[in-house]
Amino acid sequence: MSQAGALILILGSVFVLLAAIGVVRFPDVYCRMQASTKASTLGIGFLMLGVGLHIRTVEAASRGALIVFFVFLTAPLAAHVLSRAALRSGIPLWKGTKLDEWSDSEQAK
Amino acid sequence: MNLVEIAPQVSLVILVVSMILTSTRLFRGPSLADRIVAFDQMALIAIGIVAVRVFISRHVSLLDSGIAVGLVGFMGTVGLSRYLERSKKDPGETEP
Repeated sequence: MSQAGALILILGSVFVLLAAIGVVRFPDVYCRMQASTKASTLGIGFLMLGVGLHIRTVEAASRGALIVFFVFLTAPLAAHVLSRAALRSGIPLWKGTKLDEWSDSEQAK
Repeated sequence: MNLVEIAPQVSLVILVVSMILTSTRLFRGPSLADRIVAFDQMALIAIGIVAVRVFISRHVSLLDSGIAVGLVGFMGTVGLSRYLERSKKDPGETEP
C-alpha cells in the first residue's frame, strides 16, 4: 500500500513537470494557462493521494482531501478570471487559434 | 533502499526542476499575464513540495501550510488579474 503511494507520488510530480514544460513551451498565454491549470490540478490530486496512501491516518486523509477540494475549486476560477483579463486587456491570440468567440462578439456589436 | 525511500527524493527532484522551468517563464514572459500564469503554477508546485515533505517526515500538520500557500496563490492570482483588467485603456469610459 505504501509502495503504491510512492508510485502515485512520482506520477503526480511527473504531471506537475508536464505542466511546467507546457508553461514554458506553449506559444500563447491561453495555451499556457490551460496547461498550468489542468495538468497541475491533476498532479496535486495524485500527490495528495500518494501522501494519504503512505500515511493512512484520518488527519492526513482529511487535510489532503481539503487541499484537493480547494485546488479543484480555485484553479478553474483563477484561470477564468485571468483569461478574461488577458482578453480584455488586448493580449493577442496565437496565430493558429481556430475559434475566437470574443472577437466575433465584439465585431457583432 | 526500497521504493518508499527513493520515490520522494525522485519526485522532489522533479518538482524542483519544474519550479526552475516555471521561473524561466516568470522572468521571460512577454506580458504580465504570462507572469501571473507562472506565479499561479509556482504556488501549485509549492503545494506539491509540501506534500512530498509530509511524505518523507510524516508530520501531517505541515499540510496546513499547503492550504495556506494555496489560498495565498489564489488570492494573488485574482488580485493581479483584477489589476490587469483595471489597467487597460477602455475607450468607452475614459473620455466622456
